Amino acid sequence: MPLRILATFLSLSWLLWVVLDYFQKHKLYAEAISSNIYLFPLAIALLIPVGAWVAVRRNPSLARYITGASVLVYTLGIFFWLLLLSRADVLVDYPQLVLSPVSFLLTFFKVLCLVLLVLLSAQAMGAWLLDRWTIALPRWLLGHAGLALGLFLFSVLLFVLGALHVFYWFVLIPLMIIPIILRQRHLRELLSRYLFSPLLPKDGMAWYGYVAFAIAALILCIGLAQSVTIYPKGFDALNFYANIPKLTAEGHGLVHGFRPHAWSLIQSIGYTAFDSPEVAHMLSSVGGFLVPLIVYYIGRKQLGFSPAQTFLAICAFVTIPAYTTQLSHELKIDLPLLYLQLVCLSLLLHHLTRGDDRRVLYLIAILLGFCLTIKITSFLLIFGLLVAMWYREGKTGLPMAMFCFILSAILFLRIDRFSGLDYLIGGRYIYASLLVLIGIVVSLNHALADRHYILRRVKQSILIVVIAGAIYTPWAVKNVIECDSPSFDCVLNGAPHSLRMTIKDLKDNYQSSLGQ
Amino acid sequence: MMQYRRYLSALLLLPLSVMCLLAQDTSVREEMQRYIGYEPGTFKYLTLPYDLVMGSNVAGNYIDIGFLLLAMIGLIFLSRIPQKKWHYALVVLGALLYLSMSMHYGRVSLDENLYLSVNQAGFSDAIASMQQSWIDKIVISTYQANELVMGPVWSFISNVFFAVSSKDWVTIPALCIILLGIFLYSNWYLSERKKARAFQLTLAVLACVSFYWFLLSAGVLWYGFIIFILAFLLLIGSYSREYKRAGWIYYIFLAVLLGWGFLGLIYKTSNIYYKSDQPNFIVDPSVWMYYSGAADEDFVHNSYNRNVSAALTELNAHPEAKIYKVGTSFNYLIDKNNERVYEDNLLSFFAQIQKNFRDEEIASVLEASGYKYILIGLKMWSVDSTPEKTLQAKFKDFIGFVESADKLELVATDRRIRMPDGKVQYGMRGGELVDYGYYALYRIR
Repeated sequence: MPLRILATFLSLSWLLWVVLDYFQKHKLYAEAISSNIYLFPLAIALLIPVGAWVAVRRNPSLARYITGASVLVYTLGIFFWLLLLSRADVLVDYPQLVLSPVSFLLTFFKVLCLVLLVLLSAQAMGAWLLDRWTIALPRWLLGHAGLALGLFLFSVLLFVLGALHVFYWFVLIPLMIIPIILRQRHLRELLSRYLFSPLLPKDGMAWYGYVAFAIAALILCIGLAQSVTIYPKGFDALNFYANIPKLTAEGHGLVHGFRPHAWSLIQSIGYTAFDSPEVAHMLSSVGGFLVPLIVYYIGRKQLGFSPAQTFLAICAFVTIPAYTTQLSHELKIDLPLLYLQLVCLSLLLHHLTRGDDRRVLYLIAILLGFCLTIKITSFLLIFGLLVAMWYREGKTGLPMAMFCFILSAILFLRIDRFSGLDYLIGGRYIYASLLVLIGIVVSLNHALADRHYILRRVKQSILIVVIAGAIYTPWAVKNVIECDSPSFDCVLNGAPHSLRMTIKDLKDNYQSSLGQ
Repeated sequence: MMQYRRYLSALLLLPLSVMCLLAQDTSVREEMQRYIGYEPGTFKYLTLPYDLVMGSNVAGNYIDIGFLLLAMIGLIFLSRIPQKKWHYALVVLGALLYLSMSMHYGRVSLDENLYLSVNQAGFSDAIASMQQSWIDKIVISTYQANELVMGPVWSFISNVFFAVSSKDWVTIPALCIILLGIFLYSNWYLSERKKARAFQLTLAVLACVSFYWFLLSAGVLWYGFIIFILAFLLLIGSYSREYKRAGWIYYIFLAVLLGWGFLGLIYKTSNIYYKSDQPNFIVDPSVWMYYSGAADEDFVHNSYNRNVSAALTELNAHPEAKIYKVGTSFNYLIDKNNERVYEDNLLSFFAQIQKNFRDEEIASVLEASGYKYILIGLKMWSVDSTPEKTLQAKFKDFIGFVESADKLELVATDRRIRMPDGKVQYGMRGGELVDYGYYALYRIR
């Protein structure tokens, strides 16, 4: 008992210290509370789910009105709150602003519809290919895999069109409309499932699940609304992530330089097809909306957590400022990328727990390659998934062997330079070879016991790396063509995106100007 | 038994096989490594989770992951009592040592833009002039007490292992051993609890991606977003399942989570980064006005960067003129920026120019190569967190050149100064500084 009391004391002291230290270093929270004009409507907004839970507890027949509500109903409800949150009473004091929220909301819905058009078109394309492929996946996963695959196909088509410099609205709009027309029945089903079917489960929702859901939904809707702007505020957005789609549209094709930027090509549809920077920006923000959807299914269907636990985890994640900033201010490509990475993880979990299906593995490899073309740092996930693939219940030897192989590859290929930690070891290759040796010894040790398992995993790992590499190849070729002196760095990072200048150029030009 | 012999051999071989050295290029060190910090060797990795939560290395909402993960880990680990008491004693000791180490290398906040380490010169003077809240008093005095008691210990360890700064023999092997430890512990934990295979696999992915992220991403948060969502999912999912009947600790856990959620909502809706005369509406008023037709693009741009339209008008009126850009985020607003902007954000190239030409020549040298404008981010030096302040030194040299060059004339800036006659106007010098500003645009005559 005294130990129990001590444990409670220690855990609470830890909590208290972390909270105190955090707020000492984040003084803006105090300002956020004192300057917030929405505290009351927000509190009311969160009391509604608690009220709904109490009502259902007292009168279970009400459950079908609450848990049976569809995404559409919730979305409308949330936008009702958004309108209310715009604080009409305060706006009255600012005549120049008084009608603005209404015109802003109209623009918001227009942009949202155009973004949905892009996503539906991609989904139609991906679902069509998955149908041909006859991959057996649960319905929810099939929907996400279809969208991810469709976005990949889109990016490939856009790359080809970009290389040909035919990025025009009369090329892109038919490209988007045709899949929708051809797959309208499938899309109707999809829309009715997501917009009109019940969202929340009938059972297993504790009160905190409702509150967590309401907080997450509200913050995502606000983030999405804030992404509608002509001025993306983030430093990287202005210099890169919003800039590349704009330059792509201006030049009607691929731009010189920059790292591989497949998502930026998709974003450039906003400028090229709809002449709307807002659509381009929301195509970044919408990733933040898709992430909780896939996380919900991973938590519920694959990890077996209750809906309330899953909503709690989603709420904890989507409220961190780093996430909400990406959602509406930074407008980078990291949230769509996170969504695609989670689809890959979900497919791998399905592949490893529901029996090996080579076609699912192909799909994972393709999507991982797609992730690489969006941001090269996706190799971190590829490494993680490769190690996990070798994981067998109760045995850590094989994943450790894979870990050694990957670490040696990092040393061989000098990938560590990404982190700015370039090792100066003369014996880099000797150490890397030693790691390979350890990996081989450990895996051979297991291979003697289960040769077939090892061989299958080796083949699968090679397959993933080769396919993902092949998907990356067009971008690698672009990078190499644009670089003066092709190198491994150039394959990964591309040519410099701004003007080039050397001291020699400066000297030569200066000398000639003096001569004149 | 064989299994463990193999682990042991791997454990012994890993440190031998990956003894590495660190090399540092100044621009990479200035820009990328600020996220992971400048602690010696292994400490920069070990303190990273704490630094990330507290914003000790780089502060800003774009890098803020909240306190939940760190708070939850302590809550979960410390509230569980293993069967062997010395295991528990080890966990508690480990947690306290971790806290002490992180505080030794961490910083405290003096205001929202100023962070100082307690062992930094001038710290006492700085806090003496600061108005301290009760939170400040508790936190700062705890940091000072930790420094008094444990500071020499951490300095000693640091000197023993990382005395030769360019030869780091410890970091990578240490990280490998930690990963091996996590693997073995996770394996034991999972076999004890008979978790579902999907859970085991997700944990394996989380452990590996985290390791490679630690090793390769220099602490850049968004490269590892997947780590954080998986950590939240596994921690919350398994904790709330295991501890549902654990009494009031569980309700504290729930209260902290939902309290954080509500706080996050308040933070998001307060929109405090948008500074204007109006109350902080959810959507920036200038954007609202733009969509209702009450404002134009220039108005929106100026609402984020005062007077920026003056610079943009000039730059976009001469689409053939090249621009030498040092800092600022204006690329998006400059037409054909990929064809005419040279970016020297960390002044690496300028340092080379200075080595090859005299300061009086530089403007003419740039002009001879077709450059007509120099666009300067006045706060670009502020990203410099290096102990050596290399970027600040380079910026000082650069500004020295700009201010002394006769061939440069100021076109536009948002810096405001009060002139001797009392009038406040945009300008770089000649009066008392009212507002430091964000940018300045010069034209080469």
